[in-house]
Amino acid sequence: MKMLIDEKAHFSTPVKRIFDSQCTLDFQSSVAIVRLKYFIQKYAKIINRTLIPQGPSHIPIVNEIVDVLNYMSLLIDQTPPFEGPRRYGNLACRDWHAKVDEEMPSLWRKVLPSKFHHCIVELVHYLGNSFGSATRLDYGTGHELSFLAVVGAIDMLGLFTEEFQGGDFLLIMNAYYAVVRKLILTYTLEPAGSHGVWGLDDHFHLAYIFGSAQWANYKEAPLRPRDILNHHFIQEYAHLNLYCQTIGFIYQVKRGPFREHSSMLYDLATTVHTWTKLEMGLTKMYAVEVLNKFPVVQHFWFGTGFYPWVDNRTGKLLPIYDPADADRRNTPQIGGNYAAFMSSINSPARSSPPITSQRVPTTARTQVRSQARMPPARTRMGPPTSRMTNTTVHHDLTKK
Amino acid sequence: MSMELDECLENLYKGKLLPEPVVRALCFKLKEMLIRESNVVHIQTPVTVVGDIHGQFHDLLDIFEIGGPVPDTNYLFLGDYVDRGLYSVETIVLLMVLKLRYPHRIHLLRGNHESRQITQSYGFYTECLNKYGENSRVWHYLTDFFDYLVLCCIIDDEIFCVHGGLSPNVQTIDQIKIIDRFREIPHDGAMADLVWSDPEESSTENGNHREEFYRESSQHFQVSPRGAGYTFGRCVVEKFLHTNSMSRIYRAHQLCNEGFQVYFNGLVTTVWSAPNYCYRCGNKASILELYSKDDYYFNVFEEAPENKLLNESAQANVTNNKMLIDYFDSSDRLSENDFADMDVFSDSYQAKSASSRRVEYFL
Repeated sequence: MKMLIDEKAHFSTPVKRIFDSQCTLDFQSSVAIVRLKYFIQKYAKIINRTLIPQGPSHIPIVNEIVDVLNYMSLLIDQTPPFEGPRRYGNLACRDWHAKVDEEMPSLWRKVLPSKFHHCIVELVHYLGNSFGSATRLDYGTGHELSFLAVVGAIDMLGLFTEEFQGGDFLLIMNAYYAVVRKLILTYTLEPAGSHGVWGLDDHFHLAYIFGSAQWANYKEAPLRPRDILNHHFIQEYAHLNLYCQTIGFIYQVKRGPFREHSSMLYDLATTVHTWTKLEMGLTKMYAVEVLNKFPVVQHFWFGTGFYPWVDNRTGKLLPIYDPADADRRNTPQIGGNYAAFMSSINSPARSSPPITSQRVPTTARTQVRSQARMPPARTRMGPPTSRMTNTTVHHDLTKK
Repeated sequence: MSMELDECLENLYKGKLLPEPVVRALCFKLKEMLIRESNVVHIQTPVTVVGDIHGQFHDLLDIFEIGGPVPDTNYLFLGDYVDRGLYSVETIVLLMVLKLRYPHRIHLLRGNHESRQITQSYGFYTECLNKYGENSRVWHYLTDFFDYLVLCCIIDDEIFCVHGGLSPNVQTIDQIKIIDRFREIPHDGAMADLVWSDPEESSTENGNHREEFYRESSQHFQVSPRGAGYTFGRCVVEKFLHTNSMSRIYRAHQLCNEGFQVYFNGLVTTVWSAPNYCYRCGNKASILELYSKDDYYFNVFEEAPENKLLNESAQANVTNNKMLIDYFDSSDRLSENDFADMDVFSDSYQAKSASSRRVEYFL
């Protein structure tokens, strides 16, 4: 089985499509998300029982991609952080981004056979977005997702031949994460939209999925999940396993007790006993906490070739956000919350919060939606009565 | 229910949680008080201005050590009390009780995190569930109360204070006063911009001489890369200050390595009060002590040395147990598997949906 892009497919500069929670909902049924999830599943499967290789690949394109990433790392060395006061992130990072942006088209032309050069317009976007935001000087899971999109895109071009194996994927990710960690440290990038102690990690999520996938269903795995609490083990395996590598980075940058600043990772280590369950849970969690979270996916843009804004079931274009909608939506309503306040005097424990902003759907949107996905009001502002009832997708990777 | 405010304070300073009915009563009382406040509160120096706290309760206690306790010192908090840190509930409830007990000594502005939508993503919702059991009532009480927080403050009739920044929809202070603020923070519009926007120093002022870019970016609002609010340059600030006869702006909302950041030769200043943000940023924090309108001092500090876990029994696992079960309990192995759909290149998928898909994307 293979996923390949038609050579006649049309490619175009990706554009922003996700502007609010309703668009986030639309994204859940897009061709784009189906492809992204497909690649997560595919790579998690092929890296099972594989360690990060310590030498180059047999496949030229894998080595070329790793070379491109290493070259980006070299550009960091050539773009030292500015001395002197700054708000937080170092502005030299913007120069690094500028250099990368400038060179990227030619780097892609070198890596890709010429018949694929019309795809570069999309590849440049996703790779450019993989290293954090040049304006905000931050890095988070959205950027990590963008890199997965790059790898998936190359895959869709058919450039990863039959011999492409787990080790090859790990070589690429290993080189990518090395660049990102170096960027974060060199230019003190902010955690983008961190959930603080309440999230999995300030920057990464896929690294944990892939790291646990390496050792899932594998009796001979050298470590158990709880062993990650031991610095010594982490040191020993950081270069071989992505989970250990990412935890090692936390040990490097965070101060204070691990249990306190990385409570979720701590709880996972102490309550989830197998890598299989970890991988499955982290994948489910990714679908909800990353792919279904507006603050993250609003920064994922859509071209027409690799990750189109197209409904996966109907093949039709998904609704396009209409700013006129937004204007109506934000017109203050008569009474505002004062009425809500007055009613709260009588029933202070009401179960749903006052919702004052509702988008008035256009006719076209109504038609699409009345066929009953979730009622928009709830996903927009309403509190989840149970945190996971809105788990839209179950990724049961144990069934692979 | 009948707990006195001073008794509440005594418990809160020790880091103890208040019972749910007390939190409910406090929210009710404070809403009653805040509903009478204008969107823009006027206060006088001396006052100490505090930026983002984000649930770093030990650092908040440190602030009262460094800056002086309430009511000996007057405080203006610029918002973002909750999310990310371990102790958002303790932080916001302490500030609420102080506000009720000493209404003229402490003022609380609304930040972009004082919102239902944002707190569902960034930790406060989960924290409420953990600390008050598996129901979201306390989160409801507190987020309903957030709707009543004021948006801006003016010190000595000339210093404008807000969580985020300016808005293209707001030219005058009077326009802020007529916003219907008793609501969830909307996605855009004046109210959203006030809590979301950021100042942007143009590249000229960074020593990089690109005149055209400077003129362009300093005169207009630019769409913010945050996805909400705007960035605004020097000209925007000068115009706003001139129109409203103000001298400068204090705001929070952005991490600063040194605890504060001065923009446009002091026309805008960011105050940041969460040291070593998220246990890792290594940044300093500050509180801005204003003795008179022209006499001030940035009191810079670092993270509180002792950061012992509070209310441990209430949180055997910090992570929401329900979340652990929902994601990591394997009992739902047989649940409906949408990943079946995911194998989009299997023969059965191709056959099933070929008619309804754009086949040209695939070979």
